Amino acid sequence: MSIDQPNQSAWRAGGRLSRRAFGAGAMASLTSAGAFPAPALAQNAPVTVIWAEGNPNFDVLEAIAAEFTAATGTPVSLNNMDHEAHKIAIRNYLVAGPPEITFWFAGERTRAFAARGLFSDLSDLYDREGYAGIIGPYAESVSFEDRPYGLPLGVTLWGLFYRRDVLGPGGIPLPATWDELLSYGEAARAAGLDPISMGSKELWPVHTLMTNISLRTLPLDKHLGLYRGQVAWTDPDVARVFDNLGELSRRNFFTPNHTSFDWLEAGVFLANKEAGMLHTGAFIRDAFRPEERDQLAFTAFPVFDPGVGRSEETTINSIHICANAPNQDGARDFLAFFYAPEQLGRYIAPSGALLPRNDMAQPTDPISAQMVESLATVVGTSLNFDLEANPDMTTAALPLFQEFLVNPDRQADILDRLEAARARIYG
Amino acid sequence: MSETPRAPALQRAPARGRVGKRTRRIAWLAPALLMLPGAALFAVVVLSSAVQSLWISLHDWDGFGGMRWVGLGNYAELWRDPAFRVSLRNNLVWFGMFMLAPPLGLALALATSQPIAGFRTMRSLFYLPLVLSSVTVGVIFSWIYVPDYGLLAQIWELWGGVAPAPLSSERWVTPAIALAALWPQVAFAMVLYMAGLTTLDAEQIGAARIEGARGWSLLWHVVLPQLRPVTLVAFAIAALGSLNSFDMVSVMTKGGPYGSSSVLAWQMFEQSISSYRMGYGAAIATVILLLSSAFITLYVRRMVRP
Repeated sequence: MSIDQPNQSAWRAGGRLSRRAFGAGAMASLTSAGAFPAPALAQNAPVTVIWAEGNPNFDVLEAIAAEFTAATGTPVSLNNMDHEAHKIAIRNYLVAGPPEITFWFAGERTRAFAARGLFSDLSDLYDREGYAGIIGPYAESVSFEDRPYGLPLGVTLWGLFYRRDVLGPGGIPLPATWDELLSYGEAARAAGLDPISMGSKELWPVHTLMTNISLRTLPLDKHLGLYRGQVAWTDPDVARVFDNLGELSRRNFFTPNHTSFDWLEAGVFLANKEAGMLHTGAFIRDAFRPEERDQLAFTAFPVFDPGVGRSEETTINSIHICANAPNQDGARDFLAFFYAPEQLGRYIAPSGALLPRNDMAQPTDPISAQMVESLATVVGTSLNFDLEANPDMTTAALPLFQEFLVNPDRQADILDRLEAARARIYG
Repeated sequence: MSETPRAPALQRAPARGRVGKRTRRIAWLAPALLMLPGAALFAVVVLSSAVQSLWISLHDWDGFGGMRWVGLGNYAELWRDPAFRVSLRNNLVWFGMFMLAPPLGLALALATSQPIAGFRTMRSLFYLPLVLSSVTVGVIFSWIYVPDYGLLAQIWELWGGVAPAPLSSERWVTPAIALAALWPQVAFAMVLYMAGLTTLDAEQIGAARIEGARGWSLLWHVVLPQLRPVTLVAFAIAALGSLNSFDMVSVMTKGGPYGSSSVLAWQMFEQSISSYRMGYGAAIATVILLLSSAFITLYVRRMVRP
């Protein structure tokens, strides 16, 4: 039924069928016969957007879409999907019935779809809007073979969060080095706190912590080589990363039975003064009651080895045009409208993330200001393991990272299994 | 007992010479037509997808690109995969625990059918988990198991003990999840047996009592043999339910901690959907199909042969 629809409406709408209209209708019927309404022949073909960021920003996106329609006459249809379900559905719809626009993640998550020709090459849009100079270093995170396939959205810097009334001046001193981190652990335990709050039920809090430890242990290029499958897990330098993480585990740094708790519970342990610090991003403020949010403070991860340049861990969300969607021009117009400073700023603000455009004023709250300052002096950045590594490798590795955090004495066996997975996936 | 379903068809089959050709053809046609929708649906939905899944399992395929023929490569890898062995072992634990459902259900059915005040209410309480969706049961049990502030931890604290964290323990996580799943399964077996108990032949029981049969010997030699068809169904459903244990694992642990509560169905889902390995996932699906076919074959043979 839906396959015939665009052609019929093309016949009906104009009465006269041009060859181009027929071609467009036929193409639409081939590419979007499925969940998404195929465009009829109208003055402006509609733009379909799939959004799944799972945060309060959706209301802002709705307002922006309405403004775009008012300004251009192009109807926008918004779909709000569940965050986790979207990760599964996207592979189906990108092939079977792509929308014009989808929200996604930078790094390998972008490269995987760009390599398969499912995301549209945005070089033309970058040239038209001059994005290259505006986005600067973040463009790399959404590029594949030096061509941009998306636009970066909110940038989250990862580090240690704590409560002002527990740590810092007047409380337990903040650790700035490896040795201070170890003595901090003893001080925190003496004060009845778990030194680092951990809720590893959903696995990712382990690899985000490991990313920061790896960045402090290995030079950036070696770290990225490891995460992108070019360095063996049995490499002696890699063993030092696991030694460091294992040392913290042996010294009982983490919440007991952390595999039973999720990340939000780990945030609540911090808010309730049951734990001293939590490795996370600014979104953790949602775990705090609004009247207590000014207690939340940020500090960069301690430096382990002064010889290793300071690189930091970020995560970047992104927005893309699907290559097989019918309305490529409309999608580019929408993206340009959405990515203008005014709209982009409104969209990102509720999430507490930093802005990807260097021609916009970053948020001025104390945590954001600290993060901006921290990022200004880094050697480089790495995304976390989930965004840097092949998704197949991620599925294999994440349970092993968790197993290591619980049983650091299984290090040799776990590294062998990681290497076996790497050999299979990248080999 | 088991002859009843096919009896009507046999009786109606025209065997006499006076019945014309036309009637005979209709006699053949009617059951075929009645079976056709079901058979067609089964062929399309079950058979063709099973064959397709078998075909995919012989390939390396990420779900959208081209398929690469690997023969039995996926099965060879499965054989060496430690995660597969963990899943298989966990399925055995599930199977073992689910075998408790029929005896426990029988015990509950016998207990709650005694003419004692309040037992009718008890029966509906035992029946309750059956009307809950398994996701609800999983969520409730994961709350019970939460270390520090879960119900289990608070019970331990009453005695001053250190609370266990079953969902964080490699060894106990699978029994803990299977226990949650066993709860509705026992209720189901209880309902089956309650229905079975109403069909008992009162004369036989009376005769047995006169002969002096009491308690255990009455149950074992007189009641249980009459309940045999019910027992068969209860065990078959419990066995298949233990292979089908996906939802609880997904809700309670997602296979964690570090894959130690994974079962075949969960591993299949994770490999095909999260790892983009359709071929490997299909190979696990084939193993599940083989295992459940073994149970179904046993069950059907028992049903057909009285």
